[in-house]
Amino acid sequence: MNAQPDDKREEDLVKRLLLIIVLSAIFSVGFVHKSPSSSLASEGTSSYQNHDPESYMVSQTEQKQEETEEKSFDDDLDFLDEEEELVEIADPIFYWNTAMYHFNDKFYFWLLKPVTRGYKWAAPEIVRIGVKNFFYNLRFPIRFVSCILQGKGDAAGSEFCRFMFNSTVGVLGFGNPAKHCPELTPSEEDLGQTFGRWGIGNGFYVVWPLIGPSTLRDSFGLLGDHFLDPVTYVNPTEAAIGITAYDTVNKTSFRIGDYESLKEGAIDPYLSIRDAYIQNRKKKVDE
Amino acid sequence: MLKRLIPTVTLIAFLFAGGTAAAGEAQDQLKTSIDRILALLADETLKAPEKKLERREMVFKVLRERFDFAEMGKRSIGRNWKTISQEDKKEFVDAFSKLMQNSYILKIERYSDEEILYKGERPKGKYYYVYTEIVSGDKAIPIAYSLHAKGNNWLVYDVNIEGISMVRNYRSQFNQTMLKEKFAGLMTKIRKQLEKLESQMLEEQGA
Repeated sequence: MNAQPDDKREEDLVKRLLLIIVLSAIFSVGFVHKSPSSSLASEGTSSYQNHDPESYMVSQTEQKQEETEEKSFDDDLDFLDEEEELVEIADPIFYWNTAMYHFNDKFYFWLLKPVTRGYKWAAPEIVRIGVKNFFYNLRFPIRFVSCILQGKGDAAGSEFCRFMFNSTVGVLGFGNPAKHCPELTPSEEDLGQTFGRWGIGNGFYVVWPLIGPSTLRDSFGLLGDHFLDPVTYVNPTEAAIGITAYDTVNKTSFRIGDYESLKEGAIDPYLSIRDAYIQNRKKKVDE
Repeated sequence: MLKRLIPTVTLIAFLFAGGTAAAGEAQDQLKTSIDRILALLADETLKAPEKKLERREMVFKVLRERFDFAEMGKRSIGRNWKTISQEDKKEFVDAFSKLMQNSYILKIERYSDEEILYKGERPKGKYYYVYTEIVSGDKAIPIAYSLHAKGNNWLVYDVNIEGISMVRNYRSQFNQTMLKEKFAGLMTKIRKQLEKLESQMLEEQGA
């Protein structure tokens, strides 16, 4: 009698493994066909924090010129040399991506936002913060494994101590007493960043329904993260989906307005979000 | 010996100061402007709905004094800047500064209970970076301002939020748009977004 669910679980696992294998195959093929522009993008280095100071040396004469020209527009384009190459990303599946962008946009405004608003009204902030902390703590394996794979021993140690500390003193992670110790708050790592650290380029831009912006590399990262996420192993699958949905609503309750702001300032929200995603991920990989 | 040294040192000091803004003032000047905006937002006498328009104008005034929208716009257009005429530049800078001001005001009117931490400043050649953090609730968002000197003032020409440079973000949009639709297409898009923001501002003014 008891053997049946076990069998089912095994079958489930086999299916999942097959999925990984198939996707890995696509992954490797994807890299063989990596376009030249994407390899360029992956080679562009450094965020605003590690500029070459030499490139900022500018002669005094230019300063004076600037002052005399104040009335008309200053045509000095030196900044183009000062900045590193613009991080561009290949977008070969643009039509799929735009369609998914519109789908996600509607999903946010028509469903996620109203639901989140209701939830935010009903749940006090202290509860929402507790839930957010709980899920962050629960996903410790993703960060821990990523730190190890990046060779960040200290950060892995911090993650481990933080997990132990918040799970006990912080009562299963609902509290976050570790936030008071800076050494216990390493930056949040994931497998996509790990691949980036290893020198794997973004590949190309992908927008997933419900998940949002990603790249080929980060999609594989997400897939790996999925298997390191304890929520994945909740049975039945419906419950796991429910938990993920709740986590999403709870997380969104802290971010209502962010997406709106980004869209308000943009003249082409699709391009703006694509660039913002790439710039933000690059910073995270560099950290 | 000492008597001769003093004028030399003074002369050197003058040469370095050379009429431009003194280093170390970037953060102070930025902080003064941000504090003025925060004070306007906190001012009880300006909180009534009928005062909203007046308050917006006052915030815009402070913004225009500290943000070099022309420089931001120029950097956002990048390489194409030299290909457009003086009139087009003026038209673009006007529309772009409006876009920046309007999206900024909608943003700050939405958030209220945030605290700004100043995490220090760093010179880079003729530029200065000022690092701040906006703390709201239990999350902190890193925001770095890039400033350049104009006369005695340090003016912001880029804002970097969580690793995303605003200028570079606009440049990726502007480049693509101008590639396909030229400068006219870019202006159409900016104007369309401005219209959207203006009607939204009117709507929220009543609220």
